[in-house]
Amino acid sequence: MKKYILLLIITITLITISLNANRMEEDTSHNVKLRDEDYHFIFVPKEKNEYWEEIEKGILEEAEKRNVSISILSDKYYDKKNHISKIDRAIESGCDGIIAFTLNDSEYSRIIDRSTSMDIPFIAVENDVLNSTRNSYVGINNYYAGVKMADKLFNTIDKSGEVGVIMNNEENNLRLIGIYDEKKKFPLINITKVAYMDAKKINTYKIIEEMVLENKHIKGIICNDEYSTYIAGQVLVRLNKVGKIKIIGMGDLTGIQRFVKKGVIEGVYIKNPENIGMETLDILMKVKTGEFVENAIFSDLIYFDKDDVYEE
Amino acid sequence: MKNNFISIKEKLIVSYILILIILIWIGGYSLYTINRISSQYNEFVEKLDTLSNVKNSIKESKNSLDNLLLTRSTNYIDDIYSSIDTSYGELNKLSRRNMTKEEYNLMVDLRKLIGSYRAYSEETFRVALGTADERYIINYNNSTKVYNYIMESVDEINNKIYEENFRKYKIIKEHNLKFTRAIIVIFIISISISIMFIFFFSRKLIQNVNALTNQAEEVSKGNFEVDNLKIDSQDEIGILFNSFNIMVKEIKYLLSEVENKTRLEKEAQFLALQSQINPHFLFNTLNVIAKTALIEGSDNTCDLIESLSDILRYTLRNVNSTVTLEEEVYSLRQYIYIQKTRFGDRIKYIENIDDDLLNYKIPLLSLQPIVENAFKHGLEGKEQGGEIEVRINSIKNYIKIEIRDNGKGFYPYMYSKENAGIGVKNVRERLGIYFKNKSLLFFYNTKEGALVKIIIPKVE
Repeated sequence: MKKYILLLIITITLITISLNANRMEEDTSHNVKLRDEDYHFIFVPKEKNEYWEEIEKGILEEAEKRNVSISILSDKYYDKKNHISKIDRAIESGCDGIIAFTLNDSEYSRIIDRSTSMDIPFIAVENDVLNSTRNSYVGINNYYAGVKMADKLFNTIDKSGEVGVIMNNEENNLRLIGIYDEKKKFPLINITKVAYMDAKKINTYKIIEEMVLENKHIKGIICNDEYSTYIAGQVLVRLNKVGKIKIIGMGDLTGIQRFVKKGVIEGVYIKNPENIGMETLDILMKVKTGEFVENAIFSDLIYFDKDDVYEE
Repeated sequence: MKNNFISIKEKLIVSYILILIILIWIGGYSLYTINRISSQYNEFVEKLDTLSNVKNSIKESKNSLDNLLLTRSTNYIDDIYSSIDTSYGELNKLSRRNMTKEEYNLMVDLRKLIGSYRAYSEETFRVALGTADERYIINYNNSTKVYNYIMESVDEINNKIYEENFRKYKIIKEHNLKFTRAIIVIFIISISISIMFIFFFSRKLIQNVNALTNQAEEVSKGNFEVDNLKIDSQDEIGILFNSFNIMVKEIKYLLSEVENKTRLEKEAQFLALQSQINPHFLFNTLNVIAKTALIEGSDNTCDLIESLSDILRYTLRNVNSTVTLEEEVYSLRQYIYIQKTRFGDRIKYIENIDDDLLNYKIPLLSLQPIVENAFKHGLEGKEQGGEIEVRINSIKNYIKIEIRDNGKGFYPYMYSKENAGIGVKNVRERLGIYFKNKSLLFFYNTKEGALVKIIIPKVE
């Protein structure tokens, strides 16, 4: 009879193990063993999306290795005033360093100068602020990216015809300069329209649709961020323009990959956001420890088209 | 052999223990999860409360600063500082609570923002109270800006706490869902097993009890020819069945014994009836004859008649009664005396008896029929040199009685159980009944003649 009791105890033990109370215990109690960290930095991303989360991931991974704590001040959607206020808040909290998204304009330039004047090193991400005292810039070379994307599209549409450009913000002028500089090499190419997405990207579908409908002879579109790239693909499908209009975009969202695979989007340039995040923290650590830092760290830009998308 | 006996009591106790274990586990685990949820909730509420106190303290400080600037009264300085100190105290409390790394880092920023706010506020009232110009406005604006940052930061931490708590709540909810499912499964299994157990156990028990009742009824009606009850249950019911079977067997045996006894009594009665002579008349007559013989000077005749009288008196006792070996041997001697008178010197009687055994019991007339047989079949044809020897010895807890003669022996079929004479048969059966089949009766042919061996237990 003892075997029945033993069997029940074993069964109950197995059920208890399968319930995994330990995991619940671990997941619901955060007795964070707070380390005495060397530095406390603040990261101010542009907004909350997949791309910026990847950058955040890279920063946090590197921070863990380097014994650094990180506060993240983020908003769901980008709003320039709020974003600059966040950076100011980071400065007021007297942290050891700031990593933030920036635009190449005077407002960002001022806030960066304020930060460095208070001995808080500043690393610009995504767009370089050329007239500022930022310690370094980490991200892609926007001018070069503009050149590459334009070159790819112009060659795809046989070096002649009308093209449109979708910009994610008005301040990313380096990208646009790169596109226009490349256009100079292609006399038969005409940049018909440059449209800008608003901060919350609500108008994205509308501006791409208008671009396609108003310009009957448009042969290609350059999309400067992942969201507009994906939306452009949707617009082509809905307006039955797949194959007639070529899209060169940016980013590797799942939806984009599908469109590339199906030939809706000609090709995309992919950044490595996680790597960008790691680089920013690395640079900031170098600044703190007095090592030499380069003025700008350009991360890789890889082109992906139909042939490169993995068969799933 | 392994004893598989499991009592009903043990079965029931084990069942209770199993149910108890399940209930203890369910209760214990429920308490654990309830405790987890409540501690989670308490943690959550306390964190929010502490954070709210931080917010309120800073608000009070801001109000005091505004009042100071409005009234230019130094009375508010203490309020500004004490409110800020309170907020620090609350932050310290908060830092001792469980928090995520993210929350902690935001709290570090908040602490620094409060420090920054304190510095701006201090500078504000210092300039405002110390000089008449409006330079304090810059510091005041900065303190207001940082104040707004503090409020924003508190709200962010608040949101983080909410988010974290919802995440934890989700985990606990999932876990509890799993737990609830496990309980439901355990309950279903337990109830199923319990129902099966009750059904089969009760069914088996009732079936067995019914079988036993039917058999008992049959036996009570006097039908002992019932089949043995068969059971594979290793519990009290099994014991009851086996005991009942043994009891029925025992009753059957006892009944057959009673029947045998009755039959033997009837046979004895029949033997007694064969000589239906009024004992009183017989003994009186024998007495008269003995006295007459004594008067006439025939002493031998007198002794002979007295021996006969003793034998008859002994024989006419209740055939079922037991006597001591001494009484039996005495009666045997009387019988031998009569026979010796008849046979004269042709027969020699030898006795070899252990006197210590004479007080043990033996059924009446156990030896005389055997000796009578020796005379009848063994020595009757012998002209001279006939011997009858009676030996009584002890073997441990048994008595060995040997009756030997040097006659012609007996034919093999004569003393088989079936072919034995009524006297010997009667002796064998009475010994068996009296000594509960622990007695033995053997017949041997030896070189000299015949040997009868009786082995009986020592009964006082």
